[in-house]
Amino acid sequence: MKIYIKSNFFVPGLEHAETVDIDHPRLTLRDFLEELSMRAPTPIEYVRPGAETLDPDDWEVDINDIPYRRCGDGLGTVLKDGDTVTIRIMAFGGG
Amino acid sequence: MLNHDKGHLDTGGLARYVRQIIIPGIGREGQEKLRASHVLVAGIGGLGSLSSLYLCAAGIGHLTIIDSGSVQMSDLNRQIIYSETDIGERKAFVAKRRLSETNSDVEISPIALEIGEENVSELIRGVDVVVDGTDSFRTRVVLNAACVREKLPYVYGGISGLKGTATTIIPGQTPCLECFLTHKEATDSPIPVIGPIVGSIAAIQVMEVFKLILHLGDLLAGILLVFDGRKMTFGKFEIKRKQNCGVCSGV
Repeated sequence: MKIYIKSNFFVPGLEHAETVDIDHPRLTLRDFLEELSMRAPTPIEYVRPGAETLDPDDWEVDINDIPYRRCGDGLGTVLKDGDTVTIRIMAFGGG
Repeated sequence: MLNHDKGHLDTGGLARYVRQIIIPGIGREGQEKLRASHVLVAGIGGLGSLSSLYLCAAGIGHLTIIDSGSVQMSDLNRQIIYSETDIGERKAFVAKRRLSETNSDVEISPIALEIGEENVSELIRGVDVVVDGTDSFRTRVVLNAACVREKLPYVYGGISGLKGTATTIIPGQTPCLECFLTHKEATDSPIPVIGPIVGSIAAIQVMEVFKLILHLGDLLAGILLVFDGRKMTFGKFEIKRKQNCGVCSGV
């Protein structure tokens, strides 16, 4: 299964790749983010263990340009071949 | 004391700064570079008040501090340059007093104005580095664009709860703030803040300023540093330049 990635940073472990090939019978967004974490030289906690949602301070994630929370099952949303996952790292606003 | 000639240190000046002068890569020459520098701190709330103190103590020659606000009780959990007796007073003028007490040799220009499109070019004229101490992305967007236009380094910092982020934007070399801002950040909802996180990020910003001025070490140029105080981790993420960025493409 090929998933396209868009991001505002170079996703560690993917170098400059724009797609990720993952062999998975039923790939959820959570699975996908955990796979990205494992591919990074130092694991990145995209999803906190046991969390039902992403920490909104950390990441903004869309599936096919739709915020993941509005995609049926949130982190449990099943991805399809050719889907695009957008991951944006957040710059904080407080001072 | 320092001579008034920018960058020239006498014996008293050397004594004040000796503990940093002995750091390899700084030395007397580096101290004189700090003395010859003009740094603008935009916003002197949490981040800006602390970075101003560090910049002042270290002997930056000229510090411009800008903030239109007044001291409020709810600032005092983190803005440790202010005290209860300052409540209601303009931050820019209170901070100038405190900073002058810290180091009377630093020229401090307090400005109690809101930074906007209409005045930003004038405000940043003649400075060497801009330090972000604001708590508003609207102001940051204005500052970022002006710094890109004027090719001035801009040291961004931001916090939320137990986390903080920082990066150094060097026009022509790195992506700018506009390249990696997301939709959510454009809103200005109340942001939770606690002192140690503000202090950590302010210290990192000041270190970036020193390295810019001293040409020392590796900058966070094009790198977003993410500090997580809950886990005590630092992450570094290489920022992408936005294609056709309305601010920095072509610079």
